[in-house]
Amino acid sequence: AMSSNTYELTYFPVKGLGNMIRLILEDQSIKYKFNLITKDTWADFKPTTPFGQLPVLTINGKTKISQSHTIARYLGREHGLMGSNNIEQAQIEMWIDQTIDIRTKFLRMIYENYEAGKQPFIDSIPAQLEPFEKQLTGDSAHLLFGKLTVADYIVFDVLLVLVALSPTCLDSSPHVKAFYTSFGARKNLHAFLEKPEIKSMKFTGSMHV
Amino acid sequence: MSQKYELTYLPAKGKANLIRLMLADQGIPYKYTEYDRANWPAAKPNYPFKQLPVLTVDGSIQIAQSHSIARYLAREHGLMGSNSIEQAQVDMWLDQTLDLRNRLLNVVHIDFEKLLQPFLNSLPDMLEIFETRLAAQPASAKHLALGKLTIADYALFDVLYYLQLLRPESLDNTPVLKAFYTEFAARPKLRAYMETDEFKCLRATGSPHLQ
Repeated sequence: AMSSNTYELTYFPVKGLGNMIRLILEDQSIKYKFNLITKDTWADFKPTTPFGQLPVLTINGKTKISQSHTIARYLGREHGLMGSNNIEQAQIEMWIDQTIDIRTKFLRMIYENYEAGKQPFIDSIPAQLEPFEKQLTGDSAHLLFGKLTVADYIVFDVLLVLVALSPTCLDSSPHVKAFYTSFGARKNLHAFLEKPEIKSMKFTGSMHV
Repeated sequence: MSQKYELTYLPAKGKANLIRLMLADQGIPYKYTEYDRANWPAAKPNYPFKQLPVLTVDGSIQIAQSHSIARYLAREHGLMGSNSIEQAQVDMWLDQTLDLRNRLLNVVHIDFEKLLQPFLNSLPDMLEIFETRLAAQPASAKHLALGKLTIADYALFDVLYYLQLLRPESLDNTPVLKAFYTEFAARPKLRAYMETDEFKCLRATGSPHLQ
């Protein structure tokens, strides 16, 4: 379902926490303006944001929503990707929360303990993906309810960065790998990720990924 | 009579506290079940992510992840706004309290010695966002979102509770937050719950650094 809202997404030139939002917008052909903030323009822009952080989604030119997963959940609700009732919404959200646990551990390793922590983290990926592997065993096209939900985009986005860290890390999780391959082949999503300016965009602010 | 809601956790306040404070304050009945260190390992495979807390709804539907449980219950009980934009506005404050809680829990669970001082150094900046927000609200409506009580207020109260357990003087430089905490703690049903032996005797976390 399409809403009549206008959207502006503001973020830095990094995939980071903005990428999953852009995957949703691009794949769903939702019109939005992307407002790129650089080190030079951030100081002036920062005070206009709710929490001094990016990404921010500006809705209809006035309502500003902060926090990347709040933005993703909002867009999910607006565009029929959040289940049909409150319980389904909760089930989608719990899987999103589970990806946040993975992303948090990843970011902690990248920024605080890359040298010593990289290999142990890579070794831990199959165990971290275990619930997803189990969930995708019946149907590896979608995580929940046999249909597209916002959880699919967010899981895919986390897998993107894991694969960037370690290209073979999904090999022990065949159903996750099948999901990753088939989701990554979605027409609009693939076209967006292949754009030169997106393809070359780093996943984090660190030099490692 | 079987309960609509069953909340399952371990013997600590931990990540269930926010949910239990809200349920108590709202007068929402629920069954509480607890695993201990001995019987939890065998029970793990019965839960979606082998983690607790889990909310079981109508005897069979399991919702995991404390914030998803909180958002679900908030939507069911009018604490998450009236439309999608309002829900996002509540949600972003909820996420902001989660950032603070996660940093606090990192200190307590990952490396207390190394992380405590950096955390305390960064605390004024983290609290300022909430202090400024509440200071801008009218005296009769000190709420984080929508000018009225939402799940974000419970989440803020919960993290301030843990913060003051860690360092009782945590709110000394944020008078509006301190007043918010005092006023919220005086809510009758909430206060009654926090004065029960069950609440008082339950340790805060499994870590020796935050009991």
